[in-house]
Amino acid sequence: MNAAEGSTVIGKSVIIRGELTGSEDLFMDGQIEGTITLTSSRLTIGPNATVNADISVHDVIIFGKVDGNIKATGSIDLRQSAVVTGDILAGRLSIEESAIIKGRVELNPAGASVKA
Amino acid sequence: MALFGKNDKAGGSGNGARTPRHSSGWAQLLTHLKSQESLRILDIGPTSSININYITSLGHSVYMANLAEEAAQPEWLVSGAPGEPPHYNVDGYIAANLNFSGRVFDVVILWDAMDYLPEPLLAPVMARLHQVIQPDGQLLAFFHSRKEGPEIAFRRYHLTDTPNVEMQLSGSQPLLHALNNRQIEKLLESFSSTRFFLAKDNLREVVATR
Repeated sequence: MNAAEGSTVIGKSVIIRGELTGSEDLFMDGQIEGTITLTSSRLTIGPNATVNADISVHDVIIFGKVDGNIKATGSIDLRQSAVVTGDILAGRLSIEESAIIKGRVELNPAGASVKA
Repeated sequence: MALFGKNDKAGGSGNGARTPRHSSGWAQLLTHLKSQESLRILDIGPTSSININYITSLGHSVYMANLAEEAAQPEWLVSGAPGEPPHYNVDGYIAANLNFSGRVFDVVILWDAMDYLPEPLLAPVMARLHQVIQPDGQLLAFFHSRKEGPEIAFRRYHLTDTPNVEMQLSGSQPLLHALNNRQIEKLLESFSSTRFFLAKDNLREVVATR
């Protein structure tokens, strides 16, 4: 996996509690409790990540575990190790075999700008 | 056609081949889904990207839940008093796995999940599903008629745009029940109507209307 190239990286030993916002791509492989807002950027949630947060992003690629609602104006890409417990609202959704979703899925091809 | 052929490998993470199976229940539901707009659908079983893509392509929203694998988690078995066997934490299981934050559904696709749930969960789970289905909403369920044979392996079901569904082996959940028709009717007695579909294999299908 080379998803972190060119992104800000939060390593697997980092624990964050609170609000995470930004305007650049982020590779998150640690733990976070709170919210993640990257409305114009791409978030990659690494295989070691444990995310207990509502996420609002442009695009997100998920390898790890997310407990929270995800809203992406662009695409959500769930890789095979992804486990998502929460609602998904996205413009586009890609799911690899063995990825797990527990929650509502709603796709809005015009972009996930409607209220979830 | 071999319904449960060599390509249908057991175990693993769900990467086995998909085997088509005619489903009269799905055919009926498909007509309903194509004639309506913006339905809320609860799909119970291992996550199927095919189902998500298909349901959303019809303009509906889908909610995913996986009851059978969750029910097999040891956390739901609670130690009994001294000399008594452990019992199932039914309320805890329902609260954790059938809490939809006040949402109700127009269609529930239950597949064969009931056959893989411990007995103490059967009536409470069905009662909870009845609660979250809209009046006139529909439930599609499969029930195994035998407890033995290759077809009892735990499967993920994929929807298609035809009267067929596709079955794919997924995990190693043991089949716990093979309910007879009377038991199924009893389980679904709170629904206003039920329609049974017989098949050539050992799966019976029921479409129940609330």
